[in-house]
Amino acid sequence: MEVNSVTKRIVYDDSVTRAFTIATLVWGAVGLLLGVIVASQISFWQMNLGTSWLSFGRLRPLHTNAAIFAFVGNMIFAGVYYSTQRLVKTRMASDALSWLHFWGWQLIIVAAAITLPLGLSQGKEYAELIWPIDIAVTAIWVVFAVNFFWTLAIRNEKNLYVAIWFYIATIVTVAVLYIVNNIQLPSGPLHSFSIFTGVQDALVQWWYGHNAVAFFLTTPILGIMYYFLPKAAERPVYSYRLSIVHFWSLIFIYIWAGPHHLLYTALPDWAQTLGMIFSLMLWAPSWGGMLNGLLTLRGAWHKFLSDPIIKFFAVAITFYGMSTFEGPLLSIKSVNSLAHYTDWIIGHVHAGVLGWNGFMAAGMLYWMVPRLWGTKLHSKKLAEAHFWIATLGMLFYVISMWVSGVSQGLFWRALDADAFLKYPDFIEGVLSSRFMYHTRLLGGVLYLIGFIIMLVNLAATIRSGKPSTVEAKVTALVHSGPGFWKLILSPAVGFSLLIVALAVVLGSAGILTGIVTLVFIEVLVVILILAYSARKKGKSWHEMVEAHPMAFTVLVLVAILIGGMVEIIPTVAINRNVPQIAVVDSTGAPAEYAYIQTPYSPLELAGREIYVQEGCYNCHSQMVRPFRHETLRYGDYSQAAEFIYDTPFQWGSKRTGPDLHRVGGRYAHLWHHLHMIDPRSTSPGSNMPAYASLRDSRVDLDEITRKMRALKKLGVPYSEAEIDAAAAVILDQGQLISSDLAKQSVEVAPDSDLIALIAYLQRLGRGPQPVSPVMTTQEVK
Amino acid sequence: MDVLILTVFISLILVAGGLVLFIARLRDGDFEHGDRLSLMPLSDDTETEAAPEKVAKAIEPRRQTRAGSGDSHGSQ
Repeated sequence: MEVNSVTKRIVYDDSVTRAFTIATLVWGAVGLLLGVIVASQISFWQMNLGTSWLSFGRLRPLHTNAAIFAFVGNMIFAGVYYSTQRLVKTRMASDALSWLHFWGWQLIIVAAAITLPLGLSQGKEYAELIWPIDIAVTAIWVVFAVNFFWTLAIRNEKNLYVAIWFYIATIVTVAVLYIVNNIQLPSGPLHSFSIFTGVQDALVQWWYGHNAVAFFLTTPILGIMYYFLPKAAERPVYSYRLSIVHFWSLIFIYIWAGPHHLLYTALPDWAQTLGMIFSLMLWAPSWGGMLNGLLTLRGAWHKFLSDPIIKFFAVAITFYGMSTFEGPLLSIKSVNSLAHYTDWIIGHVHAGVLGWNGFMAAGMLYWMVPRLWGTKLHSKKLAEAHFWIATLGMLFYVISMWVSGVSQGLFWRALDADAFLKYPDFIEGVLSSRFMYHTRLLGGVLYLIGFIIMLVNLAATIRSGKPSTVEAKVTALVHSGPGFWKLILSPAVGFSLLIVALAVVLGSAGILTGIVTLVFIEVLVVILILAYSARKKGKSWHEMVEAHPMAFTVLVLVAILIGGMVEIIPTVAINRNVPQIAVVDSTGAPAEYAYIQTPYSPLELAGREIYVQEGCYNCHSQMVRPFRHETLRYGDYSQAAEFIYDTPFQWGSKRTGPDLHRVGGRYAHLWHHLHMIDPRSTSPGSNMPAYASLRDSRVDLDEITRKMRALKKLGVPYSEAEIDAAAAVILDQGQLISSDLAKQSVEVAPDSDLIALIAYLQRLGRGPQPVSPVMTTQEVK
Repeated sequence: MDVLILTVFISLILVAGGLVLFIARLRDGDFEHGDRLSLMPLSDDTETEAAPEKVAKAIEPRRQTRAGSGDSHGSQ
């Protein structure tokens, strides 16, 4: 490739950076305020205000989506637009695409803010947005990607700096994750079913969920660290060589770690083990990046005392180190058995988001805003106040969640001298956590106050200046490299595809074939890279890759696809990973577990949809792990085959309330009715919201029919006759429950949402329930 | 136990391959180009505030070049 150069002047497009900066501040405040509200709802159930659309189950997804996609998302885009133009020494390729990206993203956030409180949700954590919004997210992400890669194509700097590598990894991987996890079949304009069910759905979801943390909350922020930290410290990054090792090892290993969210569940053991091992391996690259960041401050530590920006960056990187130590620790199966479902996980994730993301955002904004508006920071003292108040808030938050999390884990597993539960009543644990919940709320309030101080400080800064336009003199490059198709058809791409194909074989093969394939892949990679390097003697291989964004992107794609494919394809494709249950009783007749694989009745399906709509999975799991203390408390441990018709899966990740997988038949209909109307009446001290409004709302019979048809297309064995009779069956089964309640002087309409929810809960963990008066006379479990 | 053996073996293979590549590339000075690149974030500190009339002038040549050559790489 020939490269000629001439001098030219560039005017950067900072107007879109300014827009994303303001959006970061606004949505950051909204996301944190929502966090404070949901924390107050855990402390004081009255804060649910008796309104379904403000209840914890609906607001918590809004909080997480606002924090991740609105706050951190806008912060990422501000940082990417600012740094990319300067690192590749050119203006963004298209102003129109930049603004389409900005307004599209804000509209998506507004759409999420409307739909989630309305209960329109897919019921999967961090992936709750309904399918029309998913399509919008994908389209806007493509707009961002086109603009970004087009800018790289017209760059005036031959080599891509490390920050750009992290941006490439983010764009490519988020696209893959988002699309695969959202493959779904719409059953209506606002509702859909994932094509994955049960175990497969769980694996795909946590492959997505974990890597949303990795590639949305980590890699782009690392890119921002590698650009803004050297600028603030006025020193180059400590080791560029370390950054190369850091980048490739991090993106390759991170993608495998998703199953650590499913340890001791019904996920196949081999996938759990892979998840744990790769999580432990993550320690090395994560700490490599952390040390590279902290050591960049060598010789600049005196600034830590005087410069709030350095303070924010240094503490952010320290929190990154702490979180990435804690993550692998929590992935060790024995530690996970204690910590999973407890507040410890909440503390861990908030150390990452508040400490790493929030403080990196603060450092970046304090550095960038004065420059974007051509002025000085309004008040350094206010920035110092923000730092100390927010740090104190974080400590209150994280430490209180550690204490309550470890206490909950120990409380749940405590056995007495006879090996029976020492604390059989779940609510005791909730009550003992109450003080820590209040402390967490205080921490959240302090962090929000700190953020508002920043908001005021930066608003005053913006008011004192005016939008500045920055011009730079650069040496322009005129490239005459290979064309697009020549690159696509090049041996490098063919080789990459071969690696992917071999990885699939590896993933779906037996142990021997797998080992042979792996050795073959590795030897091939090593030989080819060494041979290629020998041919280009004297020229650095990585330097050449850095100069070819297309080749770089393909290599990134290969690195992130291998782990996902090895874990997901076998789980989806091989039946033995979801063993069928064929249990017979002493007479040879199918026993209880065999019936569990029967689809939900129309009324139970309606109840399940309400369970998803109200976000019950935010506080209740449906996964009994194979521990004595769990089987004593909840019943038999959960098995993969029990979930084959569950879409979306509802295993949950947190137990603010008890597990519900075996709740069917445990309580009378009346108990459930009272519990939903006023949870304190059956469980004194409970912090669960009341769901009295479900008594008055009705099941939409036509909608259930449409949903059954959609499920049938996905393989759930509903017959046409069953679908046609759905409306009548709903009324029949509802009448059975309604009549039972009427005997105890409680009048509820048989087609009310409350009756549907009771029907679903009574079905959980056991076989089909009677759906008509005739069936009540039969012994059907 | 099979899984454990497989996992240990896979780990060793990956580590061995990575080490071979890493040492080979180190010996060839693969990472030394980074000395210049690591200074990149600091080098854009020479930016200047553009006068409004310069803004349009500075963007225009690139647009003309792109429109004229039809080549996304072409910028003079």
